[in-house]
This record gives sequence, structure tokens and C-alpha cells, in this order.
Amino acid sequence: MTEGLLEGKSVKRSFFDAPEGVDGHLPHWYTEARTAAWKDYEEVPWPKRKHEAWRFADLKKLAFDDIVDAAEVDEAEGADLITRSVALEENAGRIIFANDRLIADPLLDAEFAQKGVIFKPLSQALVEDTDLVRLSFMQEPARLGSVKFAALHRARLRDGIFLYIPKDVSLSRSVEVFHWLSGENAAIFPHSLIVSGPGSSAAIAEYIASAGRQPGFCGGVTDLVAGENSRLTHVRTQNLSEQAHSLHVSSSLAADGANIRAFVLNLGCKWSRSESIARLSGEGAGTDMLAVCIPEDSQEMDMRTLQLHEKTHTTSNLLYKNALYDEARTIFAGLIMVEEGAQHTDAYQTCRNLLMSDQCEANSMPGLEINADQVKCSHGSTAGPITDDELFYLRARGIPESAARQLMTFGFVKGAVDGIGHDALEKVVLEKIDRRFRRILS
Amino acid sequence: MNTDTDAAASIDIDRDKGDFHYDVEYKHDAGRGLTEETIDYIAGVKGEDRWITDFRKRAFRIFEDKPMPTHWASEDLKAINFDEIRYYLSGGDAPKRSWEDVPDEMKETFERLGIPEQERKFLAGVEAQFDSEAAYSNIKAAVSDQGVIFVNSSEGLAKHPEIFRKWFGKVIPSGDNKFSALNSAVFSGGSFIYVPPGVKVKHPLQAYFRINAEQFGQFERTLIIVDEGAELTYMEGCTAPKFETTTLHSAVVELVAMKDAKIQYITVQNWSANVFNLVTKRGLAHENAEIRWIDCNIGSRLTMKYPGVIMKGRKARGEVISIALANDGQHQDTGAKMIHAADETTSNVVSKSISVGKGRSTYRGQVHIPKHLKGCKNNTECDALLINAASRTDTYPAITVRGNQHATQHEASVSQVSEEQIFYMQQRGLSQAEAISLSVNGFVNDLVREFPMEYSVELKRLIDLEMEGSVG
Repeated sequence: MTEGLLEGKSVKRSFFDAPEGVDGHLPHWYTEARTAAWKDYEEVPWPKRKHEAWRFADLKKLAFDDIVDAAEVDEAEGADLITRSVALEENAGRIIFANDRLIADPLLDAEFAQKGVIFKPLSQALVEDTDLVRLSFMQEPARLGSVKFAALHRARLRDGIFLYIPKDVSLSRSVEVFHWLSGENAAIFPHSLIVSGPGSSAAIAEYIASAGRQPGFCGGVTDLVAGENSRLTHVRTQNLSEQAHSLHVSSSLAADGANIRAFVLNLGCKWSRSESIARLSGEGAGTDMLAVCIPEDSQEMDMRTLQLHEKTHTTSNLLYKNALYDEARTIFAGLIMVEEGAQHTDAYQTCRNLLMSDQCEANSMPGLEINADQVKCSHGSTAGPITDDELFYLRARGIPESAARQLMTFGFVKGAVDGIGHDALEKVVLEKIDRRFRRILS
Repeated sequence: MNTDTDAAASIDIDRDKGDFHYDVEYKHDAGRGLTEETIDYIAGVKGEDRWITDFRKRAFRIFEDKPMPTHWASEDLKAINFDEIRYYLSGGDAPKRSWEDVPDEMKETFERLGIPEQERKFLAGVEAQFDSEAAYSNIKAAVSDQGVIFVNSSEGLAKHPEIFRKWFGKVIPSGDNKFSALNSAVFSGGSFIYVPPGVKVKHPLQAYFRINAEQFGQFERTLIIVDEGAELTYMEGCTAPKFETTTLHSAVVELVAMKDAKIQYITVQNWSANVFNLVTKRGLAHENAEIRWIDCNIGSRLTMKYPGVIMKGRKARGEVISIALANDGQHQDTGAKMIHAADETTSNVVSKSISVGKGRSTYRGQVHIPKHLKGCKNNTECDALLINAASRTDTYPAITVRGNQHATQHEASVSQVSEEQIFYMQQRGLSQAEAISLSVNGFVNDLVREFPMEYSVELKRLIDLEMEGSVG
């Protein structure tokens, strides 16, 4: 299929032909909601610059006129992508998609499968575990501006993963998901739904990357639903081509005593936007929201976040670190919202921008809306270069200036990576960051 | 919760001081509602030049075209009924120069506001706006001898057009926002000040504004030009009587600091709780000039005020120091706007807000540093104190920095009156009310110190006095 999918600002109707081969047996509730989502997509107006949720965003870059449905990759490319799908030294399971289609059999250690862990393609889970999926599937509204694109995702979704950890089961090793985008102007809509039962724990890594250097579009959704006293760690790395566009909407929901850590690494895309909502809906729930963005050239990285405290004794901690090169632009818009009655809330939000060129631009909108009085909240936002003092210190110890700069920058972003609190995952992320810095310097 | 009520009562301040009203017969009254005829009427009464009337009418059309900014601002703005507002009222007499000429009933009003008392002290000049026109204005000989012009806006436009026309509406264009357009269409009253090069005005100049007619919007327009190397401190304090229906106050204040000049503009706003206070304030700082806005908002139903500084010349400095207190039914939506437009410019914003009862305070800020510049710095700190469970506070800053030659930092925190502090003070024999009062005063103390002495005393008293009597 090479026909333009998104003509001008609306998607052509032909694009809505159901993805072949996955439809006939899907549950009715799912296909019905998909039809409704298409209607929503068409009805919701295109974002405007005046809209607060899109302030500072370069909407000109959002146009994705030439996007086409991603075609199946051929066998040779599939085989190549499988060999490239390596990250952790050991995992508990992995699933590999290219253009939203499985290219290898999903793996899950028998040990965990026996304990009732479900880790399978969403298309399969929709049929086999339909009630479980239905409970949590896209239940959180896209509150941060992308209602239209969440509807597009819902309408165009072909596949993704479903991970379910039963009560009191703990996944001692992480599971991994690879999403490859391949082909000129191809569009993918990866979906991840992760549900943890009471007292369980799991860590999951999701790698989204381009197979080549062509333009394309990725409209992903990640939903984390943590049951009582469970712990979830989620790492997402975005390394799409410099020509690609990406718009990712993620949300997390934490029940009583649950703890969620979500980390995002943004490296690729000409234009990318990431909306992350952490909803603390249970007493004593906690969340860490972490991100590292390293844009160069004329990349724009737009991060919008919401820390929503609904119950008492909830904690949230956000740390976003951006290192900007060349003519790169970042936008950070974060909001801590403490609802009425959510007493004894601790909420922190920090966004730091390290400005590495005289052409880059950092925009920050750290916001607070506090409707309870027994709270400890603060936010901080900084933007500045590596100071001469810092460089002097390292140079005085014999480190050349360029190496000193690299060290400082690496140390700067590492602060956010450390928050993942999971050695193997941190190592994977740091390797990707290291490769990035080496490329920038060369 | 009992302590909540106590705390709310203890922190409530005395608004009754301004809560009185005398029937005044207005010689000129433009009636209710706003049309081109209203503008012709105002222009006619004032005998204005043609260009001013044209300026007003252009602004009126902008006002009509612009939508209410409710996509980001409070929905409460919709409660303003522009057709019910009286846009111009005036006694019609020329401003009085000596105290003896002022009508007795007005004198009594001023007496209760404490103006003569202030003058007896060391203030250099008093420009008290009574409704639309300045009913009393006086500058001590020493100040006018230095060549300082301190008159009301009509007089300034009529007598000194060569100075004022150059800057009038230049710092804040009529189309800046809906309310600056409204002000540009119907402005009357306000101060025009010019300080010649090198003159350092020792004592602060002062003006009091009052709203004294029901449903009467007050649209004063102030333009202050401080020439090269000169210095000025200007103070405005507001109290207004209470009325049943909403009252609109929408001022425009433009400051121009030429090379090496310094301007300090101090406001204590204590409108009664039915006033919409929608004010546009901005300063233009030339090379090595300094503009400081010191702003305290205690009264009004809704205040929207974001004093700004455009740092146009190298090494210009901008500062906003802001204290806001929001009680039941009040929304203090304040902030700062710092536009860096030259190298090595620095700006500083320190904002402290206190929300009491169901009060809501909001900080909105904008800092803009474009990429062709170097060596710009901004520091922003906002702290919010929440007194009761239903109190609310929001912070919405927006910071844009381009290039690696700058540094910005923004910090905000939200906290409550510390139980430990209160306990500690009660242990030493202070009542709960006194303890809370002391704690609140401590929270704002470092900013209150920035106000001139008599203002800081008054401010402390505002927070303090009422507390002492209110909790048994």
C-alpha cells in the first residue's frame, strides 16, 4: 500500500480498512470502540498553537502528509532485525515487532508462564484474555492535549503487547519488547498494556527504533496499571530515524501502596512529543517519572507531564534532564496536581536543561495546582551551560576540554538514569546514551 | 475544623478601613455601557486633542474584537457585565492644588484614608485620584524645582505632549490584551511623571486610588518617564468601599527608564472583595537601567496582574517582588513577565503567596531569552503558603532560553504553616492566632523588608492587627 494515509490534516478513509488478518475473531467491544475512535479522530479539531497544551510546540512540524500504512517487512529484513534485537544480557521473555507485526515467536520463560504470567501480543490477548484486557485497555483519557492522536492510535492499532503479573508473583528478570519501524513514510501504532496484580513486581523495557533512516510516524500508547502494593518499572527508549515523527501517550495508574517507575530516553525523531500521566489513585501510592532527552541538529522534543495526586500519603518524583546540541529545541510542560483531600502529599518536579550550543532553545513550563494544604510540593527548572568553573576543575586535573565536556554531560544525564534503580536496565540505557554522545562528538 | 476557622479568622485583614461611601454628585457621567458615543463624551468633557480620541477609538475596536482570555485565565471573568459599567464619572473641576480648596466631604474621605497624615510626614507629593479625576494634587516645591513633572494624565497629555506622546502606548500597545485595549479606550486619571536627567527624587511620590461609585470601572493610566541617570520611587495604595455589584478596575501603567535610570514602583492593592482588578503593568529599561516592581495584592475578587520588564539596553535589570494574600472568594492571579532583549541583562522574580480559607493564589510567569544574546540571567522563586484544607495555589511559569550563554533557574515550593512552629510558639505562651500570625509574617518578612518603611509597617499591621482581636 503506497497511497497517502493522512492527506493534509485528515487521514484518508481508506486508511481505516481494518488491518487484514487480525480482525475476524476480535471481540465485539474492541472493534466497536475502534469504530468510535475513528469518528472521534475525525471530529476532534487539529491542535492549535493557542491551545495551552500545545504552547511552544512547532505545529508546522506535526504535519504528516505523506504517511502510509506500514507494510510487512520481507523475510531477509525480518531476519536482520531479529539479530539487531539485543539489549539485556538476560531476560525473562521478549517479543519483536516490525511494522506492528510479529517477526519472531514470543518468548517467555516457562518458570514464569507456569506462575500465570501472561506476556503475549495484544492481538492474541484480546481473544484469549479478553476480560482481563478489557478492564484496563485505554481507560485513561489523554489529558495533555493529544485526544485526537490517542483516538488515531485506537483506530489504527494493529498490535502490541499485553503483560500481566498475577498476585504476589515477582518477575526476577525483565521482559523486553522491540518495535521496529521500516519503510518510507511508514506509520506504526505500538501499544503496551502492563497490569500487575497485588503484591507483584516486574520490570519491562520497550525499545522503539527505525530500521533505516527513512521518515515515518510512530503513534504509540503505553498503559501501566499497578495493583495494590505492586511494583512496576518501565523503560522506554525512542531511537527512531532523524526524519521520523513520534507522538507517544503514556499513563500509569497506581493503586494503594503501589509504586511505578517510568523512564523515557528520547534520542531520535525530527519531532517527537511524549505525554506522560501518572495517576496516584491509591493511598500511599508512589511514582518516579524520569526522562533523558539528547536532541541535536534541529530536533524538537516535547515532553508534557502530569502528576495527579488523588489520595492521601502519595508521593511523586519527577526528574527530566535534557542536553541540547546544535539548533535543538526542547519543551517541558509539567503539572503537579494535588486534588482536594489528597493530604500528606509529597510531590517534586525538576527539569534541567544543559545548553550545549548557542543556537539551542529550552522551554520550560513547570506547573503546580495544589488543592490540599498538608502537602510538600516543589518544582525547579534550570537552563544553563556547563560553567567555566566546572570545566576549569577538570582541566586542572589534566582532562582535555572536549573530554571534560563529555564527562560533565554524561554525569548530568546519568542522574536521571540512576533513578531507574535496576542495574541491568540502567546499563542498557547508558550504553545507548554513550553511543549517542560518541556520535555527536565525532 | 475549628482550627481552620480560627486560622482563617486570624489571618483575615481589616478591609473595613476603606469600607465607607459618601454620596457624591457627579457633574459628568457617561452613563452605563460602552459605545463610540461614550468615548466621544469622555473626549468632549476632557477637551482632548484629536489624536487622543482617535487612539481611544482604535483601542475600542481592538477591545471589541479580542475574546475574553478564558482559555487560560479564570472563568470568573465572564461575570463582568461590560454593559452595566459606568465608564466615566467626574466632578468636572480642575484638580485642586491646595488642601483648602478640596470640598469638605472629599476631605473627609481622604482623612479616613490617611492621606494628609502621610503628607505631613515626608512624602514629596500626593496625587490622590478620587474616582476618575484627581481631586487633589500637590508636589512639594523642592521636587518641582528640580524639574519633576507630576500631574494627572489629562494634564500631562494637554500640557506636555512633547514628552509624553513619544512614549504613550509604546510600552504597552492597546492591543496587548483585552483589558489594556479597554483602558486605552476609556482611560482617565492616573499619573504622568517625568524626572529630568540626573535628578534623584529623594522621597517617594505617592498616589491613592479609590473607587467610589457602584459599578464604576476605574481606568487610570499612568506613564512614568525617568530620564538618564535619574531615580524615582513611586507608590500607589488602593482601598475601595464595598458594594453589592461587581466593580471593574483596569489600569495601564507604563514605565520608561532611560540609560542608567532607576525606577521603583510600589503597589499595595487592597480593593474590596467585589472588585475585578485587571491591570497591565510594564516597564522598558534602557542601557544599565533598573526597574523594580514591588507588588502586594491583598484585596479584590479577582486580580490579574503580571508586571513586566522589557530589558532593551545592555546590562538592564528587571525585578518583580510580589506578595499575594487570597482569602475566601478571592483569586490572586499574579506573576511576572521578563523579556530579555539585550546582552547581559538580568532579571529576578520573587513571589510569595498565602492562601487562606477557600482563597486561591496563582503565579504565572514568563521569561524569554532569545538566541542572539549572551550573558543573560534570570532567577525566579515562588513560594506558596497554604493555611486551610480548602486553600488552593497554582504555579504556571513559562521559561524560554535560547543559546548556551545564559543561565536561568526557577524554583517553587508549596508548604503549610508548620505545626512544630505553632506548637513551639504556643509553648511559650502565644495564642494560636498570634502564633499563626507570626508565622505568616515570618514567611513574607524578607519581602516586606523590600517595601519602604511606612509600607512595610502598614503591611505587617494589615496581617497582624486583625489577628490579635479575632481569636479569643
